[in-house]
Amino acid sequence: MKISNLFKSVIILTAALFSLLYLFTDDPICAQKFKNPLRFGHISVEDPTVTLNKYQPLLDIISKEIGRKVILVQTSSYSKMNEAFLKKNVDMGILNSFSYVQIADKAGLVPLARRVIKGRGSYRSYIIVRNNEDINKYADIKGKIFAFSDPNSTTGYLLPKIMLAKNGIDHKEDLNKTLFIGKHDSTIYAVLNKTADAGAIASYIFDAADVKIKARIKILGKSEPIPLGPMVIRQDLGKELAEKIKKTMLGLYQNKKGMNVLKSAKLNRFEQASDKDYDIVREMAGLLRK
Amino acid sequence: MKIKLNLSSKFIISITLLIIIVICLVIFTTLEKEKKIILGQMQKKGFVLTEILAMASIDSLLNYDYSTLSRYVDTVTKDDDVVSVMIVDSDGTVKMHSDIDLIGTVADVNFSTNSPAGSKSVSRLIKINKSKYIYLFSTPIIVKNQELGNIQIAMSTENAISEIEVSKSRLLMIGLIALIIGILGAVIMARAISKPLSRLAEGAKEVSKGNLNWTVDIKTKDEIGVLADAFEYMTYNLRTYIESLVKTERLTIIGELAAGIVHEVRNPLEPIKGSVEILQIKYKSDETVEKYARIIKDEINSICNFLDEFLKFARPPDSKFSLTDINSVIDETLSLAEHYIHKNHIRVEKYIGDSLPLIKADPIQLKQVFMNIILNSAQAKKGKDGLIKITFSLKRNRSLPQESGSADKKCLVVEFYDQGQGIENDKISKIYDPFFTTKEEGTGLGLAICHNIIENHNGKIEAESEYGQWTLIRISFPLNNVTAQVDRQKSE
Repeated sequence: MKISNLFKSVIILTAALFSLLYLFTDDPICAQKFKNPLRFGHISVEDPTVTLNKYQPLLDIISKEIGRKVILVQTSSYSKMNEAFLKKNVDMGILNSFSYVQIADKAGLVPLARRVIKGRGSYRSYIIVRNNEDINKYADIKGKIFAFSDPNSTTGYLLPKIMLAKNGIDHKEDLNKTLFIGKHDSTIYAVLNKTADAGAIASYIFDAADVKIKARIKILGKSEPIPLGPMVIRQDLGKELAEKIKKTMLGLYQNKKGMNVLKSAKLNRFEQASDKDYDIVREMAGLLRK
Repeated sequence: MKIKLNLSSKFIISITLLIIIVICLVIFTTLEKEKKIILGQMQKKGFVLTEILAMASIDSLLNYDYSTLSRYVDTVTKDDDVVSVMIVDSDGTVKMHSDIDLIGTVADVNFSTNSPAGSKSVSRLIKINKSKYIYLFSTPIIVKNQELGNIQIAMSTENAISEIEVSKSRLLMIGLIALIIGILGAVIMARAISKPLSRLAEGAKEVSKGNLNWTVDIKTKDEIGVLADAFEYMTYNLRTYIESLVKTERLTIIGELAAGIVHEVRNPLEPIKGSVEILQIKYKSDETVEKYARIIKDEINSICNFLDEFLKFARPPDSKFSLTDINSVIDETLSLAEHYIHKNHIRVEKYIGDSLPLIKADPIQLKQVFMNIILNSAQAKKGKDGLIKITFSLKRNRSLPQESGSADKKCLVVEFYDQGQGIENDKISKIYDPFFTTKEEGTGLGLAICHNIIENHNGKIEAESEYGQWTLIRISFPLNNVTAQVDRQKSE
């Protein structure tokens, strides 16, 4: 019994290692090995395994609808996902708002739908610090270590950078050190384990965190709400396919099977989205089209 | 205080103690071995887990990928034995812990740096209480000779101990069953041994009380059976010895009494007899005197005869044993009785089967015995004529109970057979009793004397009869070694 337990642990660990190696491979040849599959990209908000578990049912339902295999493609950073879209190594997927406004035009992407999480189609950026630390206002962050998630993240970089600036903190001058942690869920741990003194995180990631973790964290500041990143598809795949998927996504919450898919992805539903919704982000990023 | 225990209790207690000792030894050694094995396995597992985790954690630590570290820690913590897992950086800060509350704190457990040879991992066993130990394992996370931190896993021996407890109770159960079976077996065996023994003891008690007819009735063929046989033989011997002792004593008393009586009665008889003879001489012509004087003289003679006989029985003369030919003793007896035999028309037939050995005997006493028997037979004749058959033979001695070597003992048997009136069944056992008689003029001492004489010769006298048909008197003399030797010398 003991030995089998030991083996189980070893197998789980090695399996996790291998799956990571596979998932982190950015070489899209991996994806092309499948017979003309539709490649669904997802930004690296969370642990890859967590994302895979959350989205597999969604991929399955799309696959069933369009009669093609749909595979999940994940990258180690936001920028690598952007690159994948630009190189047409990914066909559709879910992007964060900041990435979307950066590459939508260049990669020829159209929004299909927008996620609704906890009843909202929008989210915020939180700036978090440890509960027991003597940091109570923005000024206290000066000279400390600050954790961003990804340079391409909306809530993990773009918004907090603006929030800090608004409160008189130049992230390049006034901080002891800035770190790019990568994934939002790692950012919480980074603040907890004193790798950083403060950090920026997407509100829905923080809200979903363990109660015990949240109990040790306090939120220093919240950004204005911005729309959640859209589900996108490449324009050159044709309007028919795009419409089919869009219809499916928007109708998910209306049937039981769809509800299960949404439940797994921790979403309430998908709602209508248009490119214009993201102008607010473009404005923040200084990317507003003239 | 001395405790008195009977045999079976001693047996049962010693067997039980033996079983308990063996069971305790088995349980103790088995549990020790099991404990060693289980703790050894746990140590191996601890090292494997920490080393794998240390390797797997490198990339995640360098990339701030704490969510992945969290997943690893959760996975390892799922193991039943693992109590806590922590990943500590080189400053001693807990970067990840299975207990979320401890993330970010300073690790307080210090491992001694003397790690076992060939491995950077160390383990330490910490005692929490009597049955609970915590096994601590630590492995450094090393990249290019630089220590990033270390992995610490704490494992509880609780599961292992409870497993040992389970096998302990299982072993105890088996031990208990073995003990019960053992005790049952011991009880059965003790019964088998002690039951016949207690019967023997009971028999010995009864015999010591004087109940010589007690039998123990044990038929087993082991040592106890032999003991029981010996006991029965001993009782038999005791019984016959006491019987002969009683008889001897009785006879001694009778003899003393008789001597006195005979003396006192006989003394006046001589003057009476003399006086009668004087009367006869004085009144020679008086027929009446003559008639009564004769009667008186006859009766006095008769009394004298009786007194002689009685004295012979009561105080038998000392035997003079010599090697005797029984056949010639018979012949002498017959020639003495010839007159009486002829007168009563009795035929005597004699059969001699084997060549007869000499026996050690008193010929005068034997003559008395044979005379008595022949005269009894003659007197018992029914019609005008009578027949006495006398048969000699050598037979195996079967009348005595078996004793060692008795199978070789032969005896010389003389049988007197007549077709006379016979003896009634209820009287045949009394014929040797003194003063028992069926004849009007009998003294009842003849056969009693015969019985004494034959017993004096170590022989045996038996009577068989069918009333109104026949009577058989059988006298057997044992042939002891001396007579057998003489017999052989004689035949050479």
